[in-house]
Amino acid sequence: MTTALTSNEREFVDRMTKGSEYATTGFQLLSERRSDILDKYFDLLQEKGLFATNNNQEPILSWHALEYLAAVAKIADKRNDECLAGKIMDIVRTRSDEGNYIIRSSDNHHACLLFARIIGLVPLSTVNMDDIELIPSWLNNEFDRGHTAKEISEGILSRTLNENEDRPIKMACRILYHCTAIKSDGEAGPGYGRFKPVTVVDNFWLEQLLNKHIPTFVEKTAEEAAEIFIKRLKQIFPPERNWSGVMRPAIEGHSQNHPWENPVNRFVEGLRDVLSRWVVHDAQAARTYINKLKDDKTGIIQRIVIHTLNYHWADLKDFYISMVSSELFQDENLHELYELLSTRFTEMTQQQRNATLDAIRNLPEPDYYEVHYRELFLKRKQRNWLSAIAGKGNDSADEWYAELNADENIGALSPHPSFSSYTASWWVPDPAPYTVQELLIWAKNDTLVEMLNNFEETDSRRGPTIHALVGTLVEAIKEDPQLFISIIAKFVRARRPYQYGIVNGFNQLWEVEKDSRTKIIDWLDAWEKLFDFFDQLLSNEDFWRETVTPGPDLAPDRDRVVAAIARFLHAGTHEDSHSYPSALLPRAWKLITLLLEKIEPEAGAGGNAMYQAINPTRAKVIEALFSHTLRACRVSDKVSGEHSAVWTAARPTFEKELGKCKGANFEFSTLAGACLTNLAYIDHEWLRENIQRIFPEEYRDNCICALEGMVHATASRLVYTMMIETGILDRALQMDIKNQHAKDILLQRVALAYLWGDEAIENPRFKRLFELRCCDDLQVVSDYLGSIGGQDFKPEHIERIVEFWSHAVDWCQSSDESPTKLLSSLSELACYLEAIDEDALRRLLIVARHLGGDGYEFIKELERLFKNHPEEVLRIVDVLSETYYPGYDYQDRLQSLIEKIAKHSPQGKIKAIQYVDKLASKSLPGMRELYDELSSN
Amino acid sequence: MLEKIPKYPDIPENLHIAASQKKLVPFIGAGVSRLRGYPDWKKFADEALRFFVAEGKLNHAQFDQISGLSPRVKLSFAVNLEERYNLLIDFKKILSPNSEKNQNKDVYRHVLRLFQFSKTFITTNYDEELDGQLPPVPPQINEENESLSKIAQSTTLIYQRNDIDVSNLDRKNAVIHIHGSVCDRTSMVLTTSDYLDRYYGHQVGGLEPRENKFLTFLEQLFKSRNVLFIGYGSDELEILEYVVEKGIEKRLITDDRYNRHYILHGFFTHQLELAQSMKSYFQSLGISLLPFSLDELGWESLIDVIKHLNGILQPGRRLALAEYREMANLLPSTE
Repeated sequence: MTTALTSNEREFVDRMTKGSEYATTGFQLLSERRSDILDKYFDLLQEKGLFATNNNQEPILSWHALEYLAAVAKIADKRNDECLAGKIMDIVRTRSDEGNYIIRSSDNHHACLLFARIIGLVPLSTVNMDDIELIPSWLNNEFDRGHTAKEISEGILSRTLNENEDRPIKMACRILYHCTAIKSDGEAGPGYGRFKPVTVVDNFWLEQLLNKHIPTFVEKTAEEAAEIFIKRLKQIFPPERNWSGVMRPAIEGHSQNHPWENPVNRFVEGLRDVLSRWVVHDAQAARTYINKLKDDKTGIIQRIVIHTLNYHWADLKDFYISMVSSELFQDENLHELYELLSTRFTEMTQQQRNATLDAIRNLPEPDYYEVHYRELFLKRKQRNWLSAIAGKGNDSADEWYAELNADENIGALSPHPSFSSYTASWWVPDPAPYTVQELLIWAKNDTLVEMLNNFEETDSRRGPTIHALVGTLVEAIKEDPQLFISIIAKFVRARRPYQYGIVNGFNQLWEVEKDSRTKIIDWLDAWEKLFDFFDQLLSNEDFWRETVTPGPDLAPDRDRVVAAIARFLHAGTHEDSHSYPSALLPRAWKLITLLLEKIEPEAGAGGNAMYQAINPTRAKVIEALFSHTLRACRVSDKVSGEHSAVWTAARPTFEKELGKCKGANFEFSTLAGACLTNLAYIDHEWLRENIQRIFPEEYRDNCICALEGMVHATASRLVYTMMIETGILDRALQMDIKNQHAKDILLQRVALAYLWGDEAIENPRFKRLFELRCCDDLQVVSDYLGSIGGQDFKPEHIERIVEFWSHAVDWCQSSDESPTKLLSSLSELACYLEAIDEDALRRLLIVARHLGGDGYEFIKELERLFKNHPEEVLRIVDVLSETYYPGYDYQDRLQSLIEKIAKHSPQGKIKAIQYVDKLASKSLPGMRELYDELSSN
Repeated sequence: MLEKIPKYPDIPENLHIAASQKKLVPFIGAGVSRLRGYPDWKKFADEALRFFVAEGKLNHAQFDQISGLSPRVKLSFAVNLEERYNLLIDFKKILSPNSEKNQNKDVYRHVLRLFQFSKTFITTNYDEELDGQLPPVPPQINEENESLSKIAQSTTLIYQRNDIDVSNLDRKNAVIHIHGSVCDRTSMVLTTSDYLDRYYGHQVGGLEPRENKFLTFLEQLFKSRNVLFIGYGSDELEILEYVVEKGIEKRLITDDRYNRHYILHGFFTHQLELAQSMKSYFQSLGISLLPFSLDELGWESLIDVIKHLNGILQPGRRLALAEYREMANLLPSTE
């Protein structure tokens, strides 16, 4: 029974008509009320047009309105109020009729879902067959193909299936029909030609729906359900497409089936399960139906019938004799018929057995082979079929099978005779031929190198492989390094992969010891032996004469041996606290220079110079060269307080390498750039004289490589000054450097120099950035200065940053078009302001107008400054309230600022509330709650 | 605790906020009209009786006998006499400003400026001063008066009982005469029986619950808006009590910072104690007393105070969130 509305309630509904936001809010408020009285508003809401679309201008019927309708639908059902339910259904019908929009709309899936919910909630007597025909328009939604089906499954479908009368059961069938609808996704797929079917309902939800309801369908209307699946299968498998095994290799659940063939799987399983359950539920009715169905010529349906025959042999076996013929033994039926014969042949009558053999015997020659192969392939086929029944109590079959097997021309029987093709996949564990223990035993009895060398890889896919054996060798070295260092000399005779293995094994041990700081072996002795091994290996001219061709396997070659040695030498000098004895430095130098001489530089400069510089073999050697020289200098400094002698010896090598940096030797260019600061330490005068050669104007690629390498160099005032003096920096800033990171680092160096006082706004670098309106570059500078905030800067540093900020903001303001991104970035520099004077306020107001998504840093600074400058911050917030509406309030910073403002004064509170109102209208979460908190009156 | 009577009242934060959201509702009493030269409540009742003395239906002795009764009782007598002698009192004549005094011509101009903080005015007065009948403001005065002129012209007058319901609470520039207007004699609430009829309670039980929409209107007014009573002196407290008694939900609030309604009330310095008592009295009704000094200008100080309010309050716009909250208030509370 509905109650009259009070004037307040009528006014409430009136207010809902003021706009969509009001309507939404109204429905939300209603949903918070007692659900059993919601219906009393229904008539007035309808009268006021709140369930209508807005003259198609705003076609989405509010979700909240639909939620309300769903709640009222529940009431109507509870009270069996057909009148109310009828009104609700009228809305659903009208809105769905306007549903062309709904179908098109990607974001109205929620409306479709609610329509589906409502139809499942109202009394069933108010739903008619025409209503069921609305379902396709609700399901045909690109955005969500699942949840609407779930609603249908749990609502209307469950309700109709619960009934026993004819009308609801017919409705259920029609719903099933709609839910199994298919469409093409427009892509061609294997086996489908131009038509690749997709179910309108997402596969997961369709599977859920079918699993839930098929048992009831079978109980109440099995034949109609079966017909629906047959219809769908025939849509996918029209008569001209009869090779269903491609999409569904087995009717039963089988690992050979393809999980991605969703529609096929659903419908095959649907028909299979209906038939199977039907036989159990009502064998007589099922038999009558299957008896007719077995004559269907559609391949996939025949397969399902064979499968059902096999699984319910006791009930259906008499059908076999009428089915068995050569025609039944067609390729498409292979799996199901093979399985049936394998399982049931022993149970067959003599008549059935004979008929089976006759059918196999009468198989036609396959006409798709050339004539002279046809007999052979027929025999092969017959042998295949016979394999299913051989040894199952029929002598004729056994003899014939033996005869065919004896024919070598036929070839071996497939390991999977019930499939015309069988897909197998396995994880390649890359197995090793020997264990760590075996390698250790052979190392002890001095046969290891021989055993390793004798291993031949026969199957690189399945293993065992050399690659895996190298891994085992490394593990064995870690197990007993002392043993391996004692026999390392013997590895000169080992094949390259194992040479690589032993070098890499000891290199890994070296790194492990560095990290763990626990002594693993006597490295003094070990390094001596390692150097002996390196000398012996690398001094052999045959080693260098070897041709290295990259192969498909993963086994290391000569170049990887060289790279491993260079990497190890680098590791031995990288840290003074973990390096090989300095006495070995001269031996290492000889090796490094030898390697530099023997290995050719890479051909060209590619995309990422540093990536290229650290990967090729020669780059490893150059890294070792730099590391070695620096270590030698440090050792010399420690001994004699200087390192000129070391450098005198090394310089020719560096100059030789530098001399090659003319359209070549890009690895050296890159690493020289990366080690600029180190070179300044080694000999800054030399660097000053040669820096132009490191960044050669005439060899652009070398210069770019060096610049990109410089990204990784430590910032140094000395180097920066050199680059200014030599004009390299100005040149670099004007170059078109593709590597944005490298370009950014250059600009950051300029910013850093500015902070150091080595640059000024009036200097050419900054002047150029402003004059040429390089907003992106200025933003890099601004971002950098913003990112280093929070450090313990001296006042002069802060003064310089504020000077840059002031200049940049004023410049932006004077521009015809405000560079919004730059201004937003500049807002972050507010972190350097300690007070807000008149000028600062003017500039803060400017940046506030252009605050972007990262404005939360600015907000944080406003909160800090508010304590001493509340009035100024209030003015800034005034501007923000006109322009800044973030979608997310990072760390609740904006909320915190607003709360502070609100507490400050009545004017502050007014501004705060007004801002909150705007933010709420832009959907910033938490604003309604904040409004309630602030506006308690 | 009041320590002194200030020249201008201190404006509470909530009043500032209400004004900035156009949630303020000036509630105008006879005190304002009196400044303009209209009769007070007592004189109005006496004049209604004098009408019958003049008509010879009431002699002076009879008049003198009932002159000591309350104005409402006297008006009840007068209306009875109207019916008995089939004569209609000329209320329009009684309710006209004293033309001799012609005093405070601008008082309603300043009052109407409060529309910048409000969508709706409410009055218990019968006169038509708020009904857009102010003489046109000379356009040459200033821009401010120009905008005032617009407000006066677009004022919507609501005085029929059936029109006084929540649907008109949100109407722009509405002036609601909750006790009727002199422009329609039948709308005027005069007698005790009129009052009882207008303020009867809702009938919530029985087969057909009956709602008094007027009460719903008052309840909603006090629930969702911030009311500022202006022109309710000691003589008008009786009327005010009717309104407040039925409209404001009684809550035990001792801290006046949480009050949502306000009353402007003038006191002389020597009335500090009275002011303190009145403060407590209004606090018990959920209303904050905003006292101002009468020392310099007497009751005309009220004009200055209104001017002060117009200067100090910050106009704004209705906020969507405020409107949503109002919508929530329109629904019965969740049980």
